[in-house]
Amino acid sequence: MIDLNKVLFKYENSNSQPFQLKIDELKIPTGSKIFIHGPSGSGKTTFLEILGGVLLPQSGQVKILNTDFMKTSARQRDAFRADHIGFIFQNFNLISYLSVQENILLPCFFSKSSKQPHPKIPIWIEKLGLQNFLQTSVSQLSHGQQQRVALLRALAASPEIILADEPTSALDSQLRDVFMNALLELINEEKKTLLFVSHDESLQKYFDQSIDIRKYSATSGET
Amino acid sequence: MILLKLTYLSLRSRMQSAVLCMVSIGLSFALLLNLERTHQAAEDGFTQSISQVDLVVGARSGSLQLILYSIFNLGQATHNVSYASFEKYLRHPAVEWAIPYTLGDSYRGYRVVGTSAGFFEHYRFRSTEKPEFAQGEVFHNAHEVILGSEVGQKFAHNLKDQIVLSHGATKGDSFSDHKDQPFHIVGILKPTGTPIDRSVYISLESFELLHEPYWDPKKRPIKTLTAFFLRAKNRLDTLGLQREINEGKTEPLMAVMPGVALQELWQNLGFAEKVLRLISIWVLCVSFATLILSLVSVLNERRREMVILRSQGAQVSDIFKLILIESIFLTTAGIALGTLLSWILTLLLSPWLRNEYGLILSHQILNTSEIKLVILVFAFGIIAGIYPAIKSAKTALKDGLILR
Repeated sequence: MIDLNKVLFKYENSNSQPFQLKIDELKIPTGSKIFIHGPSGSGKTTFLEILGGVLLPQSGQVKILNTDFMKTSARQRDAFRADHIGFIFQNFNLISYLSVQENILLPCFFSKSSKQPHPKIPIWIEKLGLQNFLQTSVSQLSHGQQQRVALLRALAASPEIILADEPTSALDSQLRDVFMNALLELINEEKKTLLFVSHDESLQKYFDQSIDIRKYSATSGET
Repeated sequence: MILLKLTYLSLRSRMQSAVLCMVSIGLSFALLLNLERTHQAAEDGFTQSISQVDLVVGARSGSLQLILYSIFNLGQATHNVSYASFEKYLRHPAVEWAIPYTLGDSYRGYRVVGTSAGFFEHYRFRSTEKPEFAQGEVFHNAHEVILGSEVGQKFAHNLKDQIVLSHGATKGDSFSDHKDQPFHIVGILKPTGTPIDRSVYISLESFELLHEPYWDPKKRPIKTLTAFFLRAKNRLDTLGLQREINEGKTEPLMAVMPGVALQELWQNLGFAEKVLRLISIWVLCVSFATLILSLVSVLNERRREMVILRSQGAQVSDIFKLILIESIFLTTAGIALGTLLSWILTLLLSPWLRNEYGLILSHQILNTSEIKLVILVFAFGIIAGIYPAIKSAKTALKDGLILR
């Protein structure tokens, strides 16, 4: 369960426009699949970083799985992230010098509770057609394969929440559909909470609910 | 464990710069080690030019002068010692043995030492080594000569060769050769790495005969010596003997403990070594600057790597540790490489250094004082890693999870 209350985040930087994100109330129940859309610069990534515990808003309440981020240290949030949140990124963010297998298992090594990898990982690896590439360096994989590795990595430490930041924008339309189907199949199977950020509104059809981030964000002067 | 593995794999992916950095540390550490080793060997060789001799006795002058002419064959004695005094101490109840030592002649620039057969029996250097014969044996008769190894080698002399000694300690051609009294070579010594190699030994009797061809030991005993070496029966008697000699009323003599005097002399001469050591520490500093530079220069390329690790649950402190471990890893590898390199160099060079310079290098891979160096350099490595580690951790904190 994600629970945001009276959250106000202001970002000020000398070389960019001041920006703020204001969320009065947002509750996302466990198991939801939420699509978050909006043009670039509208605060989608900031929103994900707040949920990931990397950014703290100036005021308000950010409660995720009953952990109040405003009352925890950066260190505790890092540990929380390792245990409960899986990430999928636009440019895959795999570690180039690790093999496919090592990349998939990476979050398990950092998890404080030193979680065992999800028991279904070998099945999923086969399902996503990666079984012959386990020892391969990730730099030798195609984009589609790399994003599937990233998907498995997000699930490896069995987190309750998956945050995806434009995961399909580096893929062509065919690979995109393959990836979306794989993602949703695994998410449904595991009943994870998924927050999926994208500017591509055609993906909306895969989700139960969608949020236009512009509802919350504003560049200063038009609050 | 995961951090060690990541460091290793990450370094492997940046093999070239990692190896360069390692080699830079390795080479400078090897330089430091070898310098230290050579320094140690030089000091040992110097301060143990003479051992088991408790006192060197000569005419009253400066102790340094006495040491220089009696052990290193450098400079001149201003006065002689009477043979009577030598005999007195030879028979002294506290004295175990005494070796006479007479200088004044030369052979093609090398000093001629008049001494007794006791020299070859009792004289020691580097604690326990004695002058040994490569060929031949000690002199028994007049006009027999023993050559130090360098002298024998330089003039390609063999046993039974005849040589002519010169009057006075001159270099090069002498104006007055003892042509009428040629000497037979009866022995050539093995290299020792001490002034022995550069000396020529004859008996005291031969020495007298050189200067007085019709000298008859029965009519006139030997009158003077340049110096003599004493060994006390008990080490505790040394100080008493020294005082007795220094305060003797019959003849103005002086006794010096060679070990102490050599140590003092070395400390005065040692400034050059200190400069060398400073230089090698400087080289080491430069290679650590290289280490810091190479760590910092890739931080920017590694920002993405750190951001990814953070998103996978690595704490900021893990990022700090990652860079520090890398620094320690490179330093350790550099130390290992340097130690190996310097050990190989030692093994390869030690026969040459021994023959050419009389330096005996220890064949130990690392001795105790070198282990101190290892610890010092290791500490350097940790310190060198701190700044890049802090910088990386700060950047990681600022970058968050998504590099924009």
